Amino acid sequence: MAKKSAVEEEVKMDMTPMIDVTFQLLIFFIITLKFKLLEKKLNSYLPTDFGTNASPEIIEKAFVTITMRQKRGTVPGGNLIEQKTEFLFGNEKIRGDTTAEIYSKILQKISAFRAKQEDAIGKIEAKPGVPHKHVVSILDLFHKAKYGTITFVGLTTNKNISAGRTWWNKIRKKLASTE
Amino acid sequence: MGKKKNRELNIPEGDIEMDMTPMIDIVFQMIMFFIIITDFSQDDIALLDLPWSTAGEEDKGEEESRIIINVTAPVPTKADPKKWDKKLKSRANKILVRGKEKDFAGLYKYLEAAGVNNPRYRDKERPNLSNRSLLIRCDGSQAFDYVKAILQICANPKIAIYKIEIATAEKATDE
Repeated sequence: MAKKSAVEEEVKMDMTPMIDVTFQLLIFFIITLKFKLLEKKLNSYLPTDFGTNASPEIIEKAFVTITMRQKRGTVPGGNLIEQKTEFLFGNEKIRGDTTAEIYSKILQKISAFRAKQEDAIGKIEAKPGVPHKHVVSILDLFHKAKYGTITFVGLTTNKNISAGRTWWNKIRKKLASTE
Repeated sequence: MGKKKNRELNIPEGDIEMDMTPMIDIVFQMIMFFIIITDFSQDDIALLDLPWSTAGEEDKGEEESRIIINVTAPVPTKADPKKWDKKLKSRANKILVRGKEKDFAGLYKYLEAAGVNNPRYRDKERPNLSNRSLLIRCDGSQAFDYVKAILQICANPKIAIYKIEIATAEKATDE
């Protein structure tokens, strides 16, 4: 008698509502999915005192200028031409076998300058064609040397910028007149 | 009475099992519909070789209104034949905003409408500035002139986007 009642009370689980809810959840998460950017960013603020509010030019501050320029050279063992970036600390050319070595020399120099002048301003002058990665690396070095203000020198004069070159030349003149 | 009716309808006696097939069919149809209509393409983010930096902060991408400008790599030089690829060449030297290519004139127009001229993005305390931020994602090997030109456009009083972010990579990808 006891065995019979146990068989009668056997309960089967209905999976249908669970599957329903699971699919609903799946659809919801697919729709709301947003991929995370695994990137970093360097925050900066452009000068906001343009036009009539323009502040007078700072003359007394001490500047450290790192200039970069592209130079053509031949690849060792071949006739092919490649672009190389030269780094200058003021007027002094920084030499090194590798870019890492050059960066380390620049860091030493700008750190030494910063030690003397606490309010020193870092200036980055990138001549036409200098790769973006070198500019970011120099920004990084100034940041490591704890410079509070870092500025970029001048308007771009790169005639090789293909997108809207003629228009750009016009706008460049316009921008120069508003600054 | 019920048993009698079942017999009349030729339905076998016992438990009636629900046919799950149509329901599953419909659910799959719905999943397929949503997958197809959902735009998974991340137009804002082009595939680039970003420059490396240690000073960079983690990009949480919390600001919904942030403008993202992508600048693709230059045409590979002949000194680097391994990188020479027709696909790469067609993708080179492009300014991309939301997956659409723009030249400087187009970018200026776009930012003019998206910057301080747009009352929605005007800074309440300083109405001559835009409260929007702009992320520049430029390929590390591309000329800095592109970034400089974008900065100059942003600094224009008609646009006045002053919160600039420069995208960098988490670790060194070259050199």
